[in-house]
Amino acid sequence: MNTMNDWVNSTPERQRLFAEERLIALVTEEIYEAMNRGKTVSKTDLASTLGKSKAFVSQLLNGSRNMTLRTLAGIAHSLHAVVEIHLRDKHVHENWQPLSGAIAMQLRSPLDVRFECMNDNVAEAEADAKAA
Amino acid sequence: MEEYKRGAALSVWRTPEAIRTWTEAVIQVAQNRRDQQEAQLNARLDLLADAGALRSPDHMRSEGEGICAVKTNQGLRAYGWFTQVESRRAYVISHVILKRRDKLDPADLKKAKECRTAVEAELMRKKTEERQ
Repeated sequence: MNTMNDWVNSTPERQRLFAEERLIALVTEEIYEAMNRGKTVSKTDLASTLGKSKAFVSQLLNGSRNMTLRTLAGIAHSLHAVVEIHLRDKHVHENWQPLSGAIAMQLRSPLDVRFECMNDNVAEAEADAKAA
Repeated sequence: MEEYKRGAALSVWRTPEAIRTWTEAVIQVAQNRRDQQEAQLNARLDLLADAGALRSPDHMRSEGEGICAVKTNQGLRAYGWFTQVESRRAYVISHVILKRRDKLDPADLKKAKECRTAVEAELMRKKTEERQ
């Protein structure tokens, strides 16, 4: 077992545990980012606006207390933020769109498009040169 | 050294000592919490690999002199440092321990620094060889 993916994919139970811990860590990091965006908000400030104790907020942020959606919404509201939730198939790349046209656009990088334009210009220039 | 996880922002590498001590540290965790704690460590390292940094002091802590520790709630700590490996940003794990108390043991800092000196010298030697 040499990589993280080997460990995670070794049993369905480990896959589930990893998914849980990944989401908890992600939400916590997002909250810390929002707390440090613009005017820094301390745990004490957050506890005060939520009407809870500082210990409650610390437990939420260190992962020892489970966060309800209601609490998350309250934290977001206190930080003048909104929560965006999007469930997607884990086998589909997050940048891909379900429309086939959109996928085609993703596969074509801006650089490729530019090269095509350049090639068109070269072809036109060559045609002009031949005509001249 | 093995590339344990390649993320969007950086790669997490493990030294042979990190691989050995990781197994030893996990065995010391209570059996019913073992997979959960390993999943938590992996999830936090995965997020670090994708985001490039962890903001929560409960997830990652700077131990001074460029040495950091990615932590879990039950005391697993992956000591390491940020560097460049194969022209890519990297977090190299020197060793893993299980420690309940938050206070840093100077021996762990010394061990991580010695590991960094040896690994950086090896990386420099490889880079010089490639240039020649």
